[in-house]
Amino acid sequence: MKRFWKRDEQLLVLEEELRARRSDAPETLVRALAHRARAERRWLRPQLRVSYAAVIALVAFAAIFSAGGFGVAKSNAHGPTRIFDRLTASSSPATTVSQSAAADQYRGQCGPQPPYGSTCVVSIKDASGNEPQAGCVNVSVPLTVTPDNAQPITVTYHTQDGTATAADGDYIAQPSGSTTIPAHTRNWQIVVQICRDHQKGDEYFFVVLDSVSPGATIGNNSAKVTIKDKFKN
Amino acid sequence: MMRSDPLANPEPLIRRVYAYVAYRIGDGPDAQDVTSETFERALRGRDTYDAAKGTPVAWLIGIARRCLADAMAAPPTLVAEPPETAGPDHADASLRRLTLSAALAALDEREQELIALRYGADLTARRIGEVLGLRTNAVEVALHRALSRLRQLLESERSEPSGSDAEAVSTSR
Repeated sequence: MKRFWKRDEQLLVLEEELRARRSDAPETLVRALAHRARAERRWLRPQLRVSYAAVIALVAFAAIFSAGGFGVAKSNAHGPTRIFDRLTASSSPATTVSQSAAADQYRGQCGPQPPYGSTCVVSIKDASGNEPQAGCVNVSVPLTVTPDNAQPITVTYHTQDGTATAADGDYIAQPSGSTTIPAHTRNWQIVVQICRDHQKGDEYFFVVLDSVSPGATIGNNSAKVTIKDKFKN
Repeated sequence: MMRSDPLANPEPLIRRVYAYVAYRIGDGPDAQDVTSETFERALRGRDTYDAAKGTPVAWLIGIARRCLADAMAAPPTLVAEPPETAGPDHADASLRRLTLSAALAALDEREQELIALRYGADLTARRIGEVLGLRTNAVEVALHRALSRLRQLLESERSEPSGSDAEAVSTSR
């Protein structure tokens, strides 16, 4: 019995460790997605109202027909005709199409507010490249945009020494670079140059995002670029 | 008849989806991308949510699982490196975390999924059953087995470290 309780306690400790391993979502991501969810809800409401009006109109129209509405209409031209006119006027086709088109146009897109659903989040990811035999070569550092950017986004960045330093010629420093991500581009890249040196082993430096144009925010702001030393042996 | 909006209170849902995704593929930009994609799909399919079939979080985790499967099926970017999970300044905590990560990685796919749903997404056994299409009892049994197996792996891992490692840990405290 004692052994049973001991085992259970150990499992409880393990469960605590597993809970502690949970990662918290970055606040920028939570804010951007929550804003998006609420913004699309606002778009959803007028659409729903129009479709409910259309359903009510159809039901009313069908009820009038099934109750011998034509006969009534012939005997009293102002009865059902006026009801039908009022119902169709409250949801004119032009209004339905324009509201639906507007919602479709901006759904799933980010950009300056309004009318886009949310703020774009630009993140940078880690990258690596093999040290060249001589001179310098380009390495692409991935940038991602979520969700779909409706407008171009300009990003400024700089490089920062790690174990690799620009002074030693490990890479070409970029104190203030910028790149423009075209509209509707979820994946883009920053190009940096890594160079041949005579140090053994892998080295790394960082690319740090400084700013993005209005209507966007920075998610992950720093990427580690590893220069792989393939001549280490 | 008014349908209930599954994303009426999105913040806690975003945090739970992210925690689940990060549990499966690690904390960082990739987890952010999968979480964003999950909400993209959820927003597009908002009207298809049926409250009678499950809670909003179970619905979202179901979408997140499909997004994860797509992300894992996609070819990896050649230049990208996986993000580091721990820095050099937290050696002790990192060691424990890495040992736990290694033990989790040794579990089979099904067990990893169960643990991520329970401790990452913080779903109850009943909700996990909704996501996986299993009975609550079956989920509880499978979870217990997964935990027991994980504990065995950790015990065998912790009983193995060399004398110098053990000494380093004891002096650091």
